[in-house]
Amino acid sequence: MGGRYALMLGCLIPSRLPQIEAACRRVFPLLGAEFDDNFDFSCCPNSPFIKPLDKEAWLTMAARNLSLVEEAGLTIATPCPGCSNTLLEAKHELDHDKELKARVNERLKNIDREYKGKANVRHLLQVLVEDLGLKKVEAIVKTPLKLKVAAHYGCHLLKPSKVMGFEEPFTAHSLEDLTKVVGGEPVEYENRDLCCGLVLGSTHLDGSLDLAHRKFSSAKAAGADALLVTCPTCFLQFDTGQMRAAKKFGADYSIPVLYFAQLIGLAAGLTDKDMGLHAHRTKTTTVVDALKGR
Amino acid sequence: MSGHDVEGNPLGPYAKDLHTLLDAQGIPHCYQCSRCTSACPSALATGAFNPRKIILQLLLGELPEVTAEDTVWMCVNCHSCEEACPKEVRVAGIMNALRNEGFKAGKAPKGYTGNANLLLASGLVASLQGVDRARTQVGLGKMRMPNIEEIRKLLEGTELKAKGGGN
Repeated sequence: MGGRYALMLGCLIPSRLPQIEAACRRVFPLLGAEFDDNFDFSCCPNSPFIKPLDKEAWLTMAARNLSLVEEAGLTIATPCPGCSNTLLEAKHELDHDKELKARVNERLKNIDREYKGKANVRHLLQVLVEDLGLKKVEAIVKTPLKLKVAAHYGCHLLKPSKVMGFEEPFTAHSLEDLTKVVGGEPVEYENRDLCCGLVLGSTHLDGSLDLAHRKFSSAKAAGADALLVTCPTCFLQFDTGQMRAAKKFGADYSIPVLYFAQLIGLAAGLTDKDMGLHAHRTKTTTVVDALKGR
Repeated sequence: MSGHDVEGNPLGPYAKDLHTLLDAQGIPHCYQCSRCTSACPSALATGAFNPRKIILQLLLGELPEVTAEDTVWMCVNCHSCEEACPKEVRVAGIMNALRNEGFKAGKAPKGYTGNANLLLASGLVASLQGVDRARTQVGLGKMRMPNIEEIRKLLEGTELKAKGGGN
């Protein structure tokens, strides 16, 4: 099954991590998904920083984003778990609280919009696993990617599980399944389900780096060649933040970070340049070497 | 328990509706097992933030005044606490409601208000410096920007618009 989706990129991916956008745009059509870019999405807005300031404003902006696709009848697909988390949480609250929905719609009236509750939202990993199916990936793999991969699910892709409606947080396996399909070997490692720590950096930098350090060291101890992520925030923390953590802890992790669409693209014969690996801050040598073997 | 502490004394600086809101998040069901804190990455990494203790204060009817330095701002909104809670207390929702009060009182850390500033300036929480170059480097064209006028109009009358990043 293929399908057409309203693509919501969020903030970080198109501005600071366009390699993730490039990978998604180049890989998903090969799997039968089509993206519609004609929607005026704003920031979702982000749940770790904006919701704690003003929940009602957060809900209102989320409701606007949801309302944009209702007429077209498309499902929103996003490469960012921050976006899918915000929109699904907002949808959950609005659909279960008539008073709140009425209040938010009162505000939306000022811009001639209305939230009806018809929109659906999925992260691209969920689109891949549930709508398209990993068999589609299997069909486009050209040469197996012989890499040991540490899966990092992050927080918002799966939690709160009752609202996100995807895999159970502690037993999730889609990233490990994907790794096997592209010919890699998923490694079991301590701290798989630990938060990346980036958000904590705004109030407690030492704590933020401590979490990253735990992650890198345990992935490294398990022999991982790469960390596999689904989230731009985790990507930033692990890629850009790796040098900072290495310096603080006097460690040499040298562990490349891959967004899951990049892993698929590389296995499907797209080049490392197509997947934007040259834009990474942490060297991707182990990954590129594995590609040369093909 | 709304509006009064365990001895029936009226409560401090917070409005009664906050208590109602907090009760609705399941506070009365908490029996202090501390699974929330055990599951919390911020508690692990900072040794300072402790959601169980914050909930204990609320159970005792003490509503601490939230300052910009308060540990509650160390909550990363990951919802690990809620996955772990055996009583379905909405721990992350509680940490959020407390911070909303702090922001209303003009007390939020710069790390947060900086994000509000970005949002009000462009409709996105992103610094737009060097974006074109970064996108060209991976073969992508210009980034699409949202209709900021419409968003500002939508946020008219909200705390976020009124206070923005200005505290």
